[in-house]
Amino acid sequence: MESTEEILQIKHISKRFGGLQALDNISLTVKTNTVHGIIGPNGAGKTTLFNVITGMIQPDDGKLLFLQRELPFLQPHKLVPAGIARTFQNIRLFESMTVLDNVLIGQHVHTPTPVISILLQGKKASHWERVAYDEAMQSLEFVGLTPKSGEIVKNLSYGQRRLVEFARALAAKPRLILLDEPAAGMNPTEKAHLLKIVLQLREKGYTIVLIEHDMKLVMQICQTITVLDHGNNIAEGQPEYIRKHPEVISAYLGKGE
Amino acid sequence: MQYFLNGLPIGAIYAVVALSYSLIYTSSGVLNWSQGDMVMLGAYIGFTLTQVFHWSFTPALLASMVVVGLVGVIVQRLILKPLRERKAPPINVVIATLGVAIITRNIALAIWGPDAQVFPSPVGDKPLQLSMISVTHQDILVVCVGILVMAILQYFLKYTKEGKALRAVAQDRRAAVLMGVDTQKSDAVAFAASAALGASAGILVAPIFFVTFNMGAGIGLKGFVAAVIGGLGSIPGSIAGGFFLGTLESLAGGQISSGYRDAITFALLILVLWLKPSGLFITKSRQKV
Amino acid sequence: MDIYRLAGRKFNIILLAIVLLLPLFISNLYYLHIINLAGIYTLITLGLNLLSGYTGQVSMGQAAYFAIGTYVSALLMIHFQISFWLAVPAAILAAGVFGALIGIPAMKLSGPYLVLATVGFGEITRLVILNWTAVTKGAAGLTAIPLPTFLSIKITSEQDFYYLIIAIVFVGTYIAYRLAHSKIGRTFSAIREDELAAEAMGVPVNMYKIAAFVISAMYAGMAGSLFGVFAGVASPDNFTFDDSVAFLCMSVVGGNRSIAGAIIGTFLLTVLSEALRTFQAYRLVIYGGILIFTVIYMPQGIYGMAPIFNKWIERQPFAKLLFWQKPSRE
Repeated sequence: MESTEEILQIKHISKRFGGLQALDNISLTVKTNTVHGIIGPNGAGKTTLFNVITGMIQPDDGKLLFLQRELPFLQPHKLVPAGIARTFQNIRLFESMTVLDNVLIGQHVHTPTPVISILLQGKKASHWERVAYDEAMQSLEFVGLTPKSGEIVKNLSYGQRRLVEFARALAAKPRLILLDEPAAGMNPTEKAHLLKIVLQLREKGYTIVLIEHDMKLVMQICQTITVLDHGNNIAEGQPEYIRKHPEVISAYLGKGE
Repeated sequence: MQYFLNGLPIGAIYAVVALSYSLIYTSSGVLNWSQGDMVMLGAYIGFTLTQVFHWSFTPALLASMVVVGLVGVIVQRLILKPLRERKAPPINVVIATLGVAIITRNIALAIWGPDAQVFPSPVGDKPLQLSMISVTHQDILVVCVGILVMAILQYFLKYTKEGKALRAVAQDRRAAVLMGVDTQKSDAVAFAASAALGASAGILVAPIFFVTFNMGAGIGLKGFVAAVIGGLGSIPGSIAGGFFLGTLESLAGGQISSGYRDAITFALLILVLWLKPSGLFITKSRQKV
Repeated sequence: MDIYRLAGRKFNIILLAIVLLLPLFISNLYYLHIINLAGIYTLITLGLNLLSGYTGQVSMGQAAYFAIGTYVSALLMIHFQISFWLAVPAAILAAGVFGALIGIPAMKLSGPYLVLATVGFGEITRLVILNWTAVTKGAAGLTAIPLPTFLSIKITSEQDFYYLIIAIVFVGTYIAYRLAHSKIGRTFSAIREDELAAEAMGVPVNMYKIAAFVISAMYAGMAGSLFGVFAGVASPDNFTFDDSVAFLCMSVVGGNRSIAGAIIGTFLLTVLSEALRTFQAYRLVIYGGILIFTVIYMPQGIYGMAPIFNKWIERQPFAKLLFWQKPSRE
C-alpha cells in the first residue's frame, strides 16, 4: 500500500509579508497515495503555503515540483491541467448556480469546447456535454449528493456545501487534492462521512493534502503530518511521532490552540 | 503657468465632486450616478435664491447645500434602503441611481425650462492682472470656497459623532454594525453630505459655465474620473485627482486640441485603471474616508 | 414546471405566426418604425446580457461598438460601394477587435473601475467620431447611407426592414441561446459568481472575459450596421453615454441572466419610452420611476418573474384552453 514515489516536493519556499516571515525556508515532500496533514497554530503559515502551491501567491524564494516537474507560480488555472485540485477554507462555490453546474465546472479542462458544434447544436457538443454530465454525476454520487444535483447551492446546508466543493474538486480528476480545513463547521455525523470519503479516495489511489484543526480527525486519517509554527517546519512524521513530539506540544500549549 | 492657473478653479470643483463620489462609495459601497445631478440642483437652487429672491451669496450657498442634502437623504430612504433590504445586486443599485439622475434632470427641466441660465459671479469677473498671468476674482473665490468646503468635510469626519460613525462603517461595515453603528443612519449621512458637497460645487461652477438642466452629466462624470484617477475612497487622493484633472484638461485643451481634450482625459483614465487601479496618488496604506 | 415547454411546439408556432404576420396588422408606419428600432436594440441587449448578466462584466459603453458597427459598414458602403452583406461582417469584425481592445484592460478591473473604464471607452469613441471630420463628417454625420438589397430586391419600406431585422434578430437570439445554454454559458456564469474559484478549477478566466467582451461587441456591431442602413443617416448623437445607459437598463429591466430577458426588456423600454410621449415633460420622470421600481421590486428583471407568472397562469381556468391539457406538475 505504502508507495515511496514523491508526488509533490516543496523546496525551500520562503515568503515575507511586510515584517512578517509567513514561510521560512519550508521544504516538505508528499508521497503518492498518502493522506498528508498540515497542522499548526493559527498564523503558522498553513494557508499561505496552500496559496503558494495553488498559484495564488508568488513566494520570494523556492520552487515546487509536482510529479518531478516544476510548477509555475501565479497561474492558478494551470493547476487543474497539471493534476491538482483544491477546496477553500471559506467555501467558494458558484452560489446561485445548481449543484450539478458547480460540479460541471470542475470538468472544465477535461472536455473540449467545440464552439461551432455548440452553435449548430451538433453531435460533438452534445456528446461532450453527456460525458461531462456523467462524470459530474459520478462525483456527486461519490460524495452522496445525487438527490441534490438540481438544487441551487445557496439553499444547501453548510456541510452539504462543503461536499459540493469536494465533488467539484473530484470532477477535476486530479492526482492530488488539497483540502483547506474540510471539516470546519461540520457536525460529528458530517465529519464521519468526510472521514469515510477521504479514506475511500486514498484507496482509489488519490493523494490528499489537508490543513485541519480537528486533531482527532487528523490523527485518524493522515499517514504523515507536518507541523508548522511561525513559518517553520518544526516536525514531520507519523501521527504517533507527532503526538509525542516535544516542540509540537509546546507550540500548541504555548499558543493555547 | 497660465494653463496651470486656469486649471485650478475647475480643478477645485472637480476635487469637491470627486470627494462626494469617494465619500458615498467608501461609506455605503454605492456608485452613485445621480451625484452630478446634485451639482446641477445645487446650481439651480443657488441661482433661484440669488437671482429671483436676491439673497446674497453665502446664505444662498448654505441654503442650497441644506436643501440638496435633504434630497440626498430622501434618495437614500426611498431607494437605497429598500435595495439594501432586498440584497439587490450592485448593478441594480447603479440602475436605480441612474433612474434618480433621469428624474432629477427632468424635474429641473420642468421647473427651470430648457434654456441655459446665466449665473453672474458674486464677486464680478474682472480679471486681475499680475504681470504675466491673469486670474479672475471668481477663480480665486472658487478655489478658496472649494478648499474651505473640503476642510469642513475633513473636520466633520474627524471630530463629529456622525463623521466618526461614517469612518467606522467605511473601514468595516460588519464590524461597525456589531459595534452598534446604525448603518441606515450612516448611509443617510453619507448621502446627505455627498449631495451637499455636490451642491456647493454646483454654485461654484455656475458662474464659470451656464446653468442648464443637463450640466450634471458632464461634471458628474469628470468628478468621478478625478476620484478614480486620484484613488477612489481616499480624501487626499480625490482632492489631488481633482486638481490634477483640472490642470491636465487646461493643458490638453490649450496645447493639443480642444476637441480631443476629453478624449485625452478618458484615455489617461483607462491607462491609470489598467496600470495602477488603486489611483495615481495613493501609495500604500489607503486612508479611507 | 415550465408550461411553455409543456405547451411545446404549439406555443412557438403561434408566436412565430404572430411575429411573421405582425406588419399586416400594423398600418401605422410609425409604430412599425419603433418596433424595427427595438429589434435593432435587441441585438445589443443580447450581447450585453452575455457580458453583464452571464459573465458579470458591467459595460456602460456599448454605444461605442454600436457606433463602430454603423460607421465601418456605412463608410464601406458609401466609399467603396460594397454590398451590405459584405459590410456587415467587416463591421462585426471591427467591433470585435475593439471589444478585445477594451477587454484587455477590463480583465483586471471590477466594480466601479470596470464601469468607468467602459464609460471612458464609449466617450473616447464618440469624441473621435465627432472630431475626426475628414472621415466621419463630424457632428453633421453621415448621410445617404445606401439601402441594402436582398436577392436583387431593394429593401426600402418599413415592412421590408421589419423582415430583415426580424430575421437577423432570430439568428442572433438563436446564437445567444446556444452559447448561454452550453459549456460556454456555464463558464461565463461561474466567472460571475466567483472568479477565483473558477480560476482554481482550471478556467482560463481572462480568456473567457475577453471572449465575452468580443461577443457583446460583435452583437453591437451587427446592430450598428443595421442601424446605418435603416436610418440612412448617422451622427455622433446616436451613440452617446445616455444610449449606453439605456441599453444597460433594457438588459437589467428585462432580466440580464436570460436570453428572453434581453428581448422583453428592449421591447418594453423602447415602446414605453415612445408611449410616454403623451406625458410630454414628465415622460422621462415616469421612465426613471419605472426603472427604479423594477430594480427594487423585480431584482432579477421581468423575466425573473417568470416562475411566479407560470404558477399564476396554471391556476387560471383558461390555461386548459390555451394549452389543450392542464399542465401537470412533475
